[in-house]
Amino acid sequence: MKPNRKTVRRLRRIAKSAMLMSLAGVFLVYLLGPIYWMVATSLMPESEIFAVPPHAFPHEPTIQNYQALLGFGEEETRAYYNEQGMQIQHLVPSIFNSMKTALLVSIFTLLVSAPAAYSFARLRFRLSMALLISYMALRTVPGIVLVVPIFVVLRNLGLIDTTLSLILVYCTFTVPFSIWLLQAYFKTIPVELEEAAWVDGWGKFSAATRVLLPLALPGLVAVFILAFMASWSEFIYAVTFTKTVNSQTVTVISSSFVGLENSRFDLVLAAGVLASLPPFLFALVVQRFIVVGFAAGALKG
Amino acid sequence: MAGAGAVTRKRNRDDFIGFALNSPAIILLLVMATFPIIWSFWLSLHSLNLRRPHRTRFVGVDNYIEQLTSADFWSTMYVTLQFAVGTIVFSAVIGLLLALLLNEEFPGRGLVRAITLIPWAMPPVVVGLVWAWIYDGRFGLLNAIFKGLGIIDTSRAWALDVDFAMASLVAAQVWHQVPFVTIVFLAALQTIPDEFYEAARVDGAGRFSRFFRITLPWLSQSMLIVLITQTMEALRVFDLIFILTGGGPGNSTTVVGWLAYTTSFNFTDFGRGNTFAFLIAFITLIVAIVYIRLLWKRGEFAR
Repeated sequence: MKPNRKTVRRLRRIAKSAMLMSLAGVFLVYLLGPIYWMVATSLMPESEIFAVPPHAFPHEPTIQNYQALLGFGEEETRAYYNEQGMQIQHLVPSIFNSMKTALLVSIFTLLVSAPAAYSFARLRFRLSMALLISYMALRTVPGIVLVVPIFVVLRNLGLIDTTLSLILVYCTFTVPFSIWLLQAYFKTIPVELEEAAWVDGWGKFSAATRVLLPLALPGLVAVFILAFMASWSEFIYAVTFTKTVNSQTVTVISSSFVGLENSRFDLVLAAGVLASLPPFLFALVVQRFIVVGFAAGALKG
Repeated sequence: MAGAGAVTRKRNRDDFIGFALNSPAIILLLVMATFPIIWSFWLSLHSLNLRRPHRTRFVGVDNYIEQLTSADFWSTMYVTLQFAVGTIVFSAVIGLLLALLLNEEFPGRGLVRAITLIPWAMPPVVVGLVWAWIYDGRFGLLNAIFKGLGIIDTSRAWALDVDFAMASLVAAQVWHQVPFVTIVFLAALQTIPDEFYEAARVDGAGRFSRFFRITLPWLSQSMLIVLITQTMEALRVFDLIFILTGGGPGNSTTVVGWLAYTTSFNFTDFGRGNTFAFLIAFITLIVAIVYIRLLWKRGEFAR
């Protein structure tokens, strides 16, 4: 029996979907494989990570690594790790430091860049273009160029090993980028809405805060999140400017766990999972906003 | 001339308000970026080692001449180039394939697109930790996989092996950068008008000639964006090298950024360290000018 044309077309469509889905499967293995391996290793007891060949999944899954890192573990375990040179009790304070730094950077970035972005979107003033280009040029300066002179500045100000020093430095790359993104976003919002508010007798300031800002919420959220993620992940300034647990961030503490004799990768990667959780959550929950940032040519510091 | 006076007054007022609104940003950036950049340049004109601060002296462009004529500097630049070319080629190819896939309709596409972003969100330090474990010399996953496939007989520490350290570094960086590259390509792919393909189909163009005559030329600007951003990434890469190779073995993964950092902080030679930093800044500036002009042309900058 000869299959009719409709069946052929449907079969072809199914075959195409199947092919595309299996290709997608290959990419998913590539993109998620290392992340799966990180999570799987972090759930293994010490004996299992040294299995040859490695276990594809934890045969005796345990959360003891997380317990040890988060301070619920047994005293002997913690003492043992400290003997190995891993100061694991520093991880929790470093997560707080990272959280504090990233949140304050995001808030400060919004407060500084929103007014500046407003000026580019709504005013015509001399040298505005030159100013905007200067911001853009500053954003492209690699951290490596600034790290030595900023180190000297901070040392003279007595700010080495403080959270404040990191906040100030991180703002130097979050602010220019945010101004750029926000001014583009403000320009997409019709000025007529604010003009209507002016006619109603509102001042320019209240029109901006009560009409423009609520409409620009997606842009503001994107800026907040991108600034948070960039600060959370930053490493070169953090490792140079912080010396003690007073201000060390989670990236600095996690990096200190490797390179030792007998690197305990179960524990190292449990720390990696904890350090990745906030940015992962942001990336999944608010991917729409992140794509807004991408579209504006966003680059992480 | 009262009207003209009012216009001038309004202009002056807007000038004032414009700069007032920018003043917090300007002050922050002057103190924390512009001033340090100038100071960094000033330091680069000195012979300055923190271990011998009393012997600091002005040497003009001697540091630059010394570096630009030293074989070590150029071998570092060569290593940087290797890293840049490796990451650009592989992230562009993988990113393009993934973008082409995500541009097709299939069940679960939204999910795959959401997952694509995940490696990008990972802090580079954690990327380094994960790959350090995969490359581990005794218990690493890569050794197990290659042994299972019969490619190798004996395990090796991939990131610490003189022949494979650079490849290991590039592979980790590519994995981290593929999401960004994919999104850039996907955004461009989605703007190709369907009429182009229909017209080509009417003309009897096959799948391959449609790809090479329509898709690829349309992506040329995205290619340039990928090229430039990845070059800038290669000039600033630090975290991965810190975790994975430490610039070694030998100098096989000492890219110029790593050299600048270790010269300043491990050898406390702030004069030479800043010279390297400024050479990086100069190269980055040239790349950045091309980048800004490009975005300008696309209208994203002035929109």
